[in-house]
Amino acid sequence: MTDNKMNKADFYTSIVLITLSIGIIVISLRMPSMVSKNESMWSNPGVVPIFIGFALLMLSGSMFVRAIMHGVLRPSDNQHTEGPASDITPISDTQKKLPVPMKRMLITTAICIGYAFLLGTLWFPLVTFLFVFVFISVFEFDSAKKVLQQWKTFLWAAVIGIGTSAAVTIVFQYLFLVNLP
Amino acid sequence: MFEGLNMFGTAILSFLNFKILFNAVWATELGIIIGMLPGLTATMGVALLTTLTFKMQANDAILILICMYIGAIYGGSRSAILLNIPGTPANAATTLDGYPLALQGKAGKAIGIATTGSFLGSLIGMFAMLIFTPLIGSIALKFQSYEFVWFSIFGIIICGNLTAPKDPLKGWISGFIGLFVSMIGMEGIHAYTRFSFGSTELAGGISLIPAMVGTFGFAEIISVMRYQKFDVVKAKIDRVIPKPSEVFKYWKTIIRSGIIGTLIGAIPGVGEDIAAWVSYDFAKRGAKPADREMFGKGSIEGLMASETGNNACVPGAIIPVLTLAIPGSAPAAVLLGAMLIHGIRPGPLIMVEFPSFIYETVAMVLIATVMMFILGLTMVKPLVKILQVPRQKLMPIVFTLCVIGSFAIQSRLFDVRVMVVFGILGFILREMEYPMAPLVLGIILGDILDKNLRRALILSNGSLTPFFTRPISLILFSLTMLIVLSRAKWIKTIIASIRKKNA
Repeated sequence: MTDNKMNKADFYTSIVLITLSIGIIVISLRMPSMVSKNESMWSNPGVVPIFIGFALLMLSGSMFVRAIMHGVLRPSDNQHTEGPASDITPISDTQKKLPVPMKRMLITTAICIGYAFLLGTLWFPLVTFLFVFVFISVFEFDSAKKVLQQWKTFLWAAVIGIGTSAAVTIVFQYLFLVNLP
Repeated sequence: MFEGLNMFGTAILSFLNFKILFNAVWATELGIIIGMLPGLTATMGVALLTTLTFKMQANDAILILICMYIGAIYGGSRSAILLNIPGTPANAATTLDGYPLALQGKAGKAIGIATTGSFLGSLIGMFAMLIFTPLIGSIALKFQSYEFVWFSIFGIIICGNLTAPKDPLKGWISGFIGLFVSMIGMEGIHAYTRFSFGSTELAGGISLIPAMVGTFGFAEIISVMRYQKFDVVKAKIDRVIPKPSEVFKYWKTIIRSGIIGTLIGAIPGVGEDIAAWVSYDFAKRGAKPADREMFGKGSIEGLMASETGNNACVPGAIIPVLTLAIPGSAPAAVLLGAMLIHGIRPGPLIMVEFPSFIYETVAMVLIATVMMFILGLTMVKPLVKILQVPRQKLMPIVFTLCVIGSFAIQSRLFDVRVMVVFGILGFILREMEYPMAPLVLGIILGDILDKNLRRALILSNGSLTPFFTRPISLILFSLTMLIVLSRAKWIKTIIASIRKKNA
């Protein structure tokens, strides 16, 4: 991330954190007092969260002030100084597309989340096989080739999927006596 | 003293049986493999093995975890040398000289030096552990709630300061977020449920292991899958075992890095990566001008310093785990969790309740270190082939283990979701340069801070005076303030203007 982008990210993060810390303080202040039960007021469950909330508020407040001092609110004149390309050249289709690393990251996250949330709804070995198979197939798929030409890729993905699913199930369920989801 | 040595000797002898040595061999080898694969860290390895070993006897399980920890921190040097990618963050400094050596056709020599450095570093750390753990344990017995409060805050501040040197504010924020996360769920004094918003699952709290597997495992998988492949350097690996003269030429660097690594290990939450960088920096400053020129271009001394430093940090990080129940690094945090799962209660009372366990742990470190040295100098070529496994084939298997690892301990699907959420959150925070170590330390220290701050305030009837008048409290408070003020820009400006006036 460039300094400018990081400053902007810090600015927005600090707003989120300030909101969070105020939330922590408010919720903590509403926690019950134990004085009525003949306990010291210092044993109240909200005491430590209030302290944490205040500390977080101070830290995120400092970040907020720092971002402003570094010019996050000043109108950016980058678009006029970066060169003619950014002003004149229309955004091409390739520029509109997500960069490859970002795409790979989002696909990874989506497949993994899908697997984590399918657990418990389907039979564990099946869902594990599907996850491994889909993961490998998606990342090894070559869009320049025909699907049928890539049968070896899918076969390998299936073999690794079956192997992983069987090994994990046997080792954890029968060797380590873990109840699988 | 002699009683301690006696207990240490007895512990070593008790570990010399086939079953235990077999466990040590496979766990260390697995550690080396996990460490050398970019994307699989020591923390993740220890966390995954915690779930695999939680039905074993305590001593067997802890030995396996220590072998994994030491093996992984060392194993990361392989990919640092051959791929220019540190296998674990602890080996980042190793890439500076390890990779240039591999490019010069000295990959075997570099691996040999890294192995020897790691071995000697671990040994130095182990001796420090043997001498200082009982001493610190005795001092820790004098700690009361006031000291524990300051120690928790000091831990967050120093960890944030060292893991985010560019912007310590982010390190501190990360630590306080961790402290907040630990507040979720039922508290320990009145059994009141905080921040659960009616969810019975949140009422049980956020467990450490799923949170750590997420931040160090899933986040790493997302990060690794971003790019397509690594290129293994095609250098021939010939002689790995270094000549004794090649090693002992750098005895000063070895001892210095060993001490630095151990000291940094003992600081809460800081960890092996910082130990390696600081050791490397000190070695560079201490080198002769001609040798200094070689740093970053394939210096044996630089490689030796970083690898000695990071492995010396491992026993160093276990010292506060045993004596204060505060981890010195992220993998040590998981180790602490594993000890608690197995019914061992590390902390100031360990010297009273389980004195022999301290010496058993030192013996385990020794066994793991010897195994790492033997396995590190053998089976080099077959293990290099593992580096060539494509990441898209490896990562789904790793994620499956992350899922099982999070699920296995409490059999709760909620923990799998916690792992996923922490993975995504951890990835985003890392992208914005928030270090993860203070976050994890915060999750651990939260409970200590919660109980001790309230207890201390009850004892003093709300007065803050004892927090600043007791000697150890005062020292910890002064250190905390010193760290914070040393990073404040306005303080630096004032000091500079005073200096100018005096000049």
